[in-house]
Amino acid sequence: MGLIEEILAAAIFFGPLGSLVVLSLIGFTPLKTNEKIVKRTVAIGQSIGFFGAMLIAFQMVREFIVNGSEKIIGVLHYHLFSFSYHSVEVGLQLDLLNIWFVVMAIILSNIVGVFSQHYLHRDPGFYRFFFLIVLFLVGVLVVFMGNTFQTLFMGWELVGITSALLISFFTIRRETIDNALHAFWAYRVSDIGLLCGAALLAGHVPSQTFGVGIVPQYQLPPELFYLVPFLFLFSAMGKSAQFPYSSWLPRAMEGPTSSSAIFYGGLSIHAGVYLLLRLRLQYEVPTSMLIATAFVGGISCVYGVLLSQVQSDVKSALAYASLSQVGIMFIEISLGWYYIATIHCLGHAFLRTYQILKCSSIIDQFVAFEDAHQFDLDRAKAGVLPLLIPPRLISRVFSLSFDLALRAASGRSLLVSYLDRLSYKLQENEDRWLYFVAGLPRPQDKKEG
Amino acid sequence: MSEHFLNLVLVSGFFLFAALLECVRERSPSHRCSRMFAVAIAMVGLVISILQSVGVRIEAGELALGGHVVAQGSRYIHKLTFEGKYLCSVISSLLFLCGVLFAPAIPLVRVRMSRVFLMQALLLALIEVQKVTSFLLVGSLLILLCIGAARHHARSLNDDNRGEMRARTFGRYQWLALSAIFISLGLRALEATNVIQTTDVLHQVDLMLLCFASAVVVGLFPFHGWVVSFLGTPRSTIFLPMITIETGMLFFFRVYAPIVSLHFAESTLLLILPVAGLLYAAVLFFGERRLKRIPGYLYLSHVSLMALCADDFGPLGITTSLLNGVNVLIAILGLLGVCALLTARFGVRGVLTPSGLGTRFPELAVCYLVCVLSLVGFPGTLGFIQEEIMLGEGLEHHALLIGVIALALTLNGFSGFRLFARIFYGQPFEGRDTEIGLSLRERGVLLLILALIIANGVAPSFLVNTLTSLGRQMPTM
Repeated sequence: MGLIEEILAAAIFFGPLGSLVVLSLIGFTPLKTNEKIVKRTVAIGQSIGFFGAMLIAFQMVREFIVNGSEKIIGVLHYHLFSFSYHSVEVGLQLDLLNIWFVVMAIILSNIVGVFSQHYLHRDPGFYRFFFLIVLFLVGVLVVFMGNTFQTLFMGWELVGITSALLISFFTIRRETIDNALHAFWAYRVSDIGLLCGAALLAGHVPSQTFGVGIVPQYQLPPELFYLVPFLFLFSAMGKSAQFPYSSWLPRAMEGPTSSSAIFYGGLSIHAGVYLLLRLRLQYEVPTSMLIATAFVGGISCVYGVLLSQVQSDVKSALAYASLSQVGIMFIEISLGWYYIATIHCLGHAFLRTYQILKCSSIIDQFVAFEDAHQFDLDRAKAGVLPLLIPPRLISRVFSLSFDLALRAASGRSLLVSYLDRLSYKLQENEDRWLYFVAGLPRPQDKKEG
Repeated sequence: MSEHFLNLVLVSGFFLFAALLECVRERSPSHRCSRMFAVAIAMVGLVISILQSVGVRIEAGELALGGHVVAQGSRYIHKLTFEGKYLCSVISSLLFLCGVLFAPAIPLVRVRMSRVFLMQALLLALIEVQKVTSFLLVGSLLILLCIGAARHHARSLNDDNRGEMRARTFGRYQWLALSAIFISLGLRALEATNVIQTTDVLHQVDLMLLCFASAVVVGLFPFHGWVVSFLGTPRSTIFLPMITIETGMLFFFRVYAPIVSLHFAESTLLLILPVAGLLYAAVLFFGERRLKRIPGYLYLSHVSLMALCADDFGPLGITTSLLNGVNVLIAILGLLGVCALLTARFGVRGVLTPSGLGTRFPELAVCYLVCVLSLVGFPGTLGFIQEEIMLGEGLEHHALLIGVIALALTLNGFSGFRLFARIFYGQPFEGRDTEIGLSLRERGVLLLILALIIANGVAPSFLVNTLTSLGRQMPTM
């Protein structure tokens, strides 16, 4: 049984990885323009992963119910390299926490794959889209299945770059590129946290693979007790678009609907939640970090709710709604409600993916709904809200929300603007110095002269 | 006659002979013939290097013994083992072959191939020599040739005296390095003829002169002025920047790193300068919009990282720097190749701020992205291995360095991606000759570079082990 389990577990990762390798090779041949070959390659890899994940999940649940034991199935253990007394090992495993995230990832990617086959039919970027989706799936599987934070970081980076490349999928439009850069900047800044945290952990407590159970397994060394959890929280905030990183999330909806669904409704946005869950189940963390997590989650939740009410397009409204739900998950994690946070995460991912995939046809749906129910807009507006809260307060909150939404939509990262200005100045000085060294007049100076 | 001399004759002599042949052949110029000849020479050079490295593995014990005997007279120089030398030779020959395969895309080769062959011969000799005096003499000759080639290249351009500025700046910085080398050689001559006595002060001065010369040749902050503009000129050939970078690397690993790690390891200045260089390069790169300047900025960042490792990470620092150096050489070659291939199609003005090239040249987009990601330490590339080792070693010595390195890599990553979006996304660029796609040869060489980066990122054990053994053999001074 053990061997079969290991084979099935390996299939979850190696199925999509095989698809990725085949797609990479196809990319160097004219076959990449053949939609049938591309979609079959993707479907085969995803189906292998799907069957593997379902069977393993079934087996693990059965074992838990029958024997009450939580087991870990090792999928891959690869010695990357050794240097001095550092040894970097890459490992993947399945346990009762991550199997649900893996099943969610595989099912959602299958759904999005099928949807996109029709949605992007005859699009010039058909191959590019599927290549990036499979790359993303491999990345997200590494995030969820990684057995150390270092391995998790590898997948984390893959998810970030594929996300930025898919936001800018429609390459002709200027806005998509700007929005992809905005999201990528948020990712890069927040990645510093995980990079430094994982490196610190690997340096001080090497070879501690993730354990099982809802009780933290290890104690962090005293010098890292405060630093590492806060670094991870910083990273999780960026990936899950929590306040103050929230502005990239609605902008990220510029990509194709199907990629928005899987990234910002389904998987990518929950990577931060998974990171915090893993951290809390792995190590004892300081209470101050839990308070900070709850605080960030609470603010993001309120912020998301307010802004989602005043969005003029469905995808942005859904993005802010996702943000508020993830904020609630942060609060749940900080309170130690791991099961609730996991169930909330899974339910939210499926619902949000469904909603985003449906939003292309939302007007049709709404008209049909109105016709069927003789929908009265004025009666709906009159609802119960004015009975509970004074109308003046509602209008105040609405105007505040509009204000915040306007700032979020038009704002540019202050740090980016400042660095740009500093860079131009330094470049100009550098240029001046070079002409001075060469003993030649600068072309610009010559014209002015 | 030592094995060193035989090897020198075999590898360098071959390129010297090729240079002579090319001199004769250049009297009847034919571009097609020139390309075929250059490719043939580069391939034979690579085969010789590989055969030598295979031979060494068979008779490793005997030859390694010979190496130590010959190297005993050396001072202030990293004594390369035979394995190390052949690794360097193979990498150099491989880069040269890639350069040749890139270069024929350009209709007019402006730097004469005879000079390029001569430079390659000297570069291989620089790997081979084991005594510091010989190293400095060969190195000076190579630098002089590079200055000459840069001037020759600048004269053939007509670009609002920017070419002239580049060549002059490069020349003046290199002459500064040459002056330090000549003073050091003079001191040695006076010491050898007993005109002056060896004192501690003289010894320190000598070390500082060599450090200074190496820092200028490799382009360390604050002697980096020539780097960005000079690496931004692969319009006609990418040999010149590549050979200059390789010369700088050899000066760094064989002279600068051993001296610094053994004599000035505790120096605060030598810790502050690379950190400042790292952040300065990252900020400079942040606002950059010109395609041709990307290799320069990323090179500058990585040279600072290499210096930081060598200064501060103890004996293992050299190995970390070596790994960084290999990554930089391969990835920068890829970036220079992308620039050269685009210049060949759109002209010099056309590639200043191109856009929308992704649909026309997806292979170039992939190559650019992978090379930049490798230089910012993305998982699955060679850069990730270097980043992991650097962070691990940095943690042992200065935990704060982790933050600085992570910050610089983050800024570089964002700048690289922003330029990627600017160049390969957006409205398609309308220039001349837009219909010329990539040839099979060009695709092949891009694939080779990508394979090197990814294969060493996924299975890095061989490279890491080889470089560890090379880095461990510290100089005895």
